[in-house]
Amino acid sequence: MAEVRADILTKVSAEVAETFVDAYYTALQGSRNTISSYYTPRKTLSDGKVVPVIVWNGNHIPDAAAMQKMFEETMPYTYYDVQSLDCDFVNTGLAVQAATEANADVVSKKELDQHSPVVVMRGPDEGFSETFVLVPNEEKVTGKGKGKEGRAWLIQNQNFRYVV
Amino acid sequence: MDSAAKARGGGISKGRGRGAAGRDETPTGPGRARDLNSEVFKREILRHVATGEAVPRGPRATTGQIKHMRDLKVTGHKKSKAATNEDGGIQSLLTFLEKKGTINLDKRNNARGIKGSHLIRIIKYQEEGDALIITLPSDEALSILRLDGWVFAGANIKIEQLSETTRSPTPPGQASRAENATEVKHLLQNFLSRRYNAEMKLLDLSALGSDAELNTLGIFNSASTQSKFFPALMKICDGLFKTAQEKKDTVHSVTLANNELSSLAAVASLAPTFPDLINLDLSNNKFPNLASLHGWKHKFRHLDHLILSGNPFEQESPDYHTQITNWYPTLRILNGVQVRSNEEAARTSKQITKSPPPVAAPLFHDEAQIAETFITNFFAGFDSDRNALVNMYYDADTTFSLSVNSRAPRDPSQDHIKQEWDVYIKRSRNLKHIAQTPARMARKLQGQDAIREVYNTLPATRHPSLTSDPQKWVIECMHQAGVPDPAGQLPYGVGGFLITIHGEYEEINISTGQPKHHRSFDRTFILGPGGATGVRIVREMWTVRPYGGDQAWKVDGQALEQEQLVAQLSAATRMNAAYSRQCLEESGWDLQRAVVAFEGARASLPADAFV
Repeated sequence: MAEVRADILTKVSAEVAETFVDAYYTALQGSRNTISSYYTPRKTLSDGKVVPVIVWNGNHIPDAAAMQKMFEETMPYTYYDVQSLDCDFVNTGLAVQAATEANADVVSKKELDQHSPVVVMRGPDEGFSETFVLVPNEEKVTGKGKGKEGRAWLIQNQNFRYVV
Repeated sequence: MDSAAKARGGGISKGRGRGAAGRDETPTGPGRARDLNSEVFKREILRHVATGEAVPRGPRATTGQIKHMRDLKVTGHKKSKAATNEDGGIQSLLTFLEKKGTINLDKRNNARGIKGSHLIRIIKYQEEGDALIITLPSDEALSILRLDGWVFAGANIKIEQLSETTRSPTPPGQASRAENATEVKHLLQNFLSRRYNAEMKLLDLSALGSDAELNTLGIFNSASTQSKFFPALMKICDGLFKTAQEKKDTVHSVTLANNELSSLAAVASLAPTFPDLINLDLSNNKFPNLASLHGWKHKFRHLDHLILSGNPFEQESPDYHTQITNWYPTLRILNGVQVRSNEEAARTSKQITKSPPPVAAPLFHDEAQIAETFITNFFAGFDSDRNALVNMYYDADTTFSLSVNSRAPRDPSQDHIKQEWDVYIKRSRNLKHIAQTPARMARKLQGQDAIREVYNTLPATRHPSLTSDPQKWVIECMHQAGVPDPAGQLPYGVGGFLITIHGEYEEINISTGQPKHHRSFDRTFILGPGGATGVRIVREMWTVRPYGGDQAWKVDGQALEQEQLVAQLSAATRMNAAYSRQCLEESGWDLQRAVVAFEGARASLPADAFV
C-alpha cells in the first residue's frame, strides 16, 4: 500500500477535527436532540471492552442516549467558545487506509476553551478541557445498517472536565 | 372583571378563611408538582410561624418584658352581684376574664392549628375609680377584648383598649428602646401568624392600612414607622426559615391587594424575601402604569399566577397582558385568565430548574497499575531528568504537540500577573491560531530526538506532589481501543489507555531554584504497548494555560449524594430526573418521605413527569 504523504494526513485529521468540533458544540448549544447521532453505537469489542466511553466531570455516562438525555433534561443553556484545538491520528497504520478508503480509524483531539452556562452557579466563565477519540462510521463506510446516513466520524471515547 | 376573574381562575383568594380557593382551583399544570407534601409543610409552618421559639407562648414571665403588652379598661362590674364581695368583686372578675379569655384564645389558636390550652393569668391590674385596668400580652388581650358586652354576675361589662397615649409613659433610656425593639419583633411575628393561611400557603398582606391591630399600634400614623414596617416584616419572615427551600415550600402565595400602592418602593423587599413565589396578587392598588412595576420585571422567576386587576394602568395600557406575560416566562394565569399553555409554562419552568450533574471524583480505569506507574514516573522524570524520561517512554513513532491557550480563564488572584508565553508560543500547535498545513506539520513532533530537543528548550518545572497534594490534580484513565500494535501484526490495533490529566506546575529558575511562573496544564496521553519498559506513549498533547486553580474539579459531595437520591427515586417511581429532584427537594432530601409524597401526588402528575 502506498505511503500517504504526511501533509495529507495533517490536512485530513485537522479537517475532521475542525468539522466535528464546530458541529458538536453547536449541537450542545442549540440542537440537543441530535447529540446521540455523534456517538458510535454501543457495542462490546473483541477484548470485552464496551464503547463508547463517555466521562463528564467524572460521571460515567453509559451511552449516547444517556448523554443526550442528560443535556436535554438537566443541562442549562450552555455556550461554548473553543479557544484551543489540537488533533492527530492515533493509528497511522490505519490512517493510511482512512485517508484513502476512509476505513476503520481513530483520531484523537482535544480542546480547551471557555464554557459559559448561563444558569450555573459556578460563575459566568468556566474553563473546560475535553478530549475526544473519533472513529469512522463503519455503517456509513459499508453502506449498511441504521447509521449509513449518519455522520462520517463518531465519538468512541470522550472525557470532559471543568478545569477553571 | 376583578371578582369574576378571580372566581373563574382561582389563584390567590382574598382574605382569610375563604376556604380552599386559589391554587387548588387552578388546573395543576405540568412541572408544578409543588404540593407533593403539603401536610408536612403545614406542620413546618405552624412550627415556625405560629408557635415554638419564634413566638413564645409559654406561661408569662413575671419579670422581664418580652411581650408586647396592652392595657385594657374594664367597667360595669361595679353593678354586678359580685360587687358586694369583700374585694369589690375584683377576684371574681379576674377569674371570669381569665376563664372566658382562655376559651377564646384556645379557639383562636385551634383555628390556626395550635393544639393545647394556654391559660391566661392576669397578674398586673389596678383599680382606677370604677374601672379596672388590666395589662396583658397582646394575644391574650385580644381574646379578652372579645368579652366586651358579656354578662358578668348579672351585669354587662364593658372592655376597651386604652390607646397608646393613655398608657403610662415608659421611662426613657436604653432599656426601654431595647424592650421596644423586642416588642415590635413580637408584634410582627404575631401579625404574620395571624396573616398566614397554612392550608393555602398564603401570606395575606392585603389591606394593611385597615388592619385593626396595626392601626391600634399606630404603625401607619407616621411616615417613619410606615416605611419601616414592611422591610421589618420581611426580615422577620427571613428569620423564620432556616433555608430558602423551607421558605419556598411554606409560602406559595402572597397578596398585597388593597394597599393603595402606587409604586413598589414600600414593598420592594418582598422580591428578595420570597423569590420563588408561585402566586402574587397586586390587585386594587394604585399602580399608575407598567413602569411602576418594572422593579419586579426580572423577579419571581417561578410565577404561575399574577393578579393585577383594579389598577389605574389597566385603562392606560389595555394591552399590558402581552408585556406582563413576556416578563414572566412561567406565568400561566393573569387575572384569572390563562395566558400560556400548561405545556409551554412547564417547559420554561424546567429550563429554570435545570442543573448539570455535579462534579464527581476522577474515573480511573487502570489495569495492573500500568497507568498509575506511568503517571508517577512521568512527572517525576519530567521535573528531574527529561532525557531519561524520553528514553523510557517515547519511541520513534511517538508524536508530541504543545498548545498555548493564553486566553483561558484564570484564577482571579493571578489576574495582575503578567503572563509570558514566548518560550511556548513558537512551539504552539493550537489549530485555532495555526492555520497553515506546513506550520501544523512542523509543530507536531515525532520521535525521541525531536521531542527531546523541544523538552530541553522548555523551562524547568516543579509539579505538586502526587501523594501529598492530590487535590491539585485530576487524573483520569479509560481503555483505548485501536492503539497501534508495535509488532505491526494487528492492523486494527491493540488495547491501550487514554489518560487525561489536569493540574499545575511552577517554572523554576535553575540558577536560583526560585519559581518564576505558575501555570495550569492539560495533558492527554495515549499509552500503548512497546518501548523500553513495555509501555510507550503513542500520542501526547499538552496544553499550557494561565494558572486557573484547582477548585473546578473539587468534588461536590452533597450534590453527589443528592444526585444518587434522585437516581434512586427515579428508579423507584419512574419519574424523570427533574421531577424526582423537585420531589426530593420538597421532601427535605428524605427518600422515604419523597416516595410517600409521590404516591400522594401520582394521580395529578402529567405524563411528561415520567421517564
